[in-house]
Amino acid sequence: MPAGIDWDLVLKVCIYGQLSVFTVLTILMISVYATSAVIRKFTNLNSINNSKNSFLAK
Amino acid sequence: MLDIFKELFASSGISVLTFKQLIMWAISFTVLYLAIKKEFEPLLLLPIGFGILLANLPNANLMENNMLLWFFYNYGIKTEIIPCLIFLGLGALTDFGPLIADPKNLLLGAAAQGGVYITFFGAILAGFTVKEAAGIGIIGGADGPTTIYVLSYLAPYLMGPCAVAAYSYMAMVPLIQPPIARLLTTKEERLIRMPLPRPVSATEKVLFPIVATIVICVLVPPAAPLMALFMLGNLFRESRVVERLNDVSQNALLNIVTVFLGISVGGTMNAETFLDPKVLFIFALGVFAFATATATGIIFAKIMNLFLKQKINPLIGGAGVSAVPMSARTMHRVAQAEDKKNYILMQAMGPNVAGVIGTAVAAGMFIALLAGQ
Repeated sequence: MPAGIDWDLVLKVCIYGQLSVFTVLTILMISVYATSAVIRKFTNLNSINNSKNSFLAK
Repeated sequence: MLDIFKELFASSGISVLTFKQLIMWAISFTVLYLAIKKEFEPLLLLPIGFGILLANLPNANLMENNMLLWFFYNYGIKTEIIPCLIFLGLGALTDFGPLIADPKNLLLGAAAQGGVYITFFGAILAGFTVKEAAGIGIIGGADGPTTIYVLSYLAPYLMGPCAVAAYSYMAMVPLIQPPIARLLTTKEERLIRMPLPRPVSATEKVLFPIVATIVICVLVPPAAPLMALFMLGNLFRESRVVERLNDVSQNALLNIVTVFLGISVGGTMNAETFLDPKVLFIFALGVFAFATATATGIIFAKIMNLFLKQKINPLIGGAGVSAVPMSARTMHRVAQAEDKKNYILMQAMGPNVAGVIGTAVAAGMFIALLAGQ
């Protein structure tokens, strides 16, 4: 083992770093799921409203 | 007459040409050969190879204070401008559709960064300092600009060998990844077919770069310069209202900054810093980084399969490194070697672009934890 290495720092970088990458990308994943769900909800509402409007126009 | 020749010889570079510089010329010619003849990442390796030659011309001193390469390096790379502008162009070239269609692919991009941290640890054991090890580890992310970005903060003197290793191995992805993929998967797993990703609406594609910028830049501020420009480039592409900006980002601007990036990185490789036994370790650790990143991605995909109803082909985990789109294509070919009708290219593109984000986040974490040390 090389001397003079701050092993606490090395372990902190490895564990904290990898956990942070997972945490950030998990939060991004949830955000993307949520954004897509909201958009689909609005798209559905719009399509329902559009079909209602076209029905009323008839 | 003889005196004139003597004076000419003394003032020329020939009189001070060293053996080490001749070795560097040979390395420059090798890099140029790989770029021109073998077409290994020629856009980068060609200017890097030429930059190595320029940095080792006797008496030319192009990397000395206030000389040509010094300006490129100090104003382009040290200030982080060039790697970030490269990311602007990459963002304009990237289609996040497969990732938005199946956001769990982001986890595969995160898992593949395991190779970065394993290599970081390996580099420490090989005798590198913590900062040097971080720069070497990030090679496993298979992302040249991110490698340069991290090294400009933590160990600028290793930028040359690390960048050459990163770009050379990126070109060798089709050779490095398939044996690891076959070793870690069974034939049945490689035969798994996956449904095509769902169509993604234009609104989702426009909102993605905005959401991603907020999430990543708020959580990991040191990754903000890279991520902000990456996502801005993508917003140019997906908004479809700034076609001129999109075009200039992914073509003219990207090409211009690539010239300055390559020649500056090559310029850092002088004989004194490059001809060190440590450099051989960097190349060995670089290939180890690629291999472990591929392995951790595949292993994580297999773990995910334990919990998923609709199984995924674990090969797409190996595409979690950010060599886009080479890695996804390589995994697609490995799947097709078993079953010619198994198309996993689109599904592998999700983890592939997630790998770009994952590597930038890993880079940000290295800088956050080590820049102040």
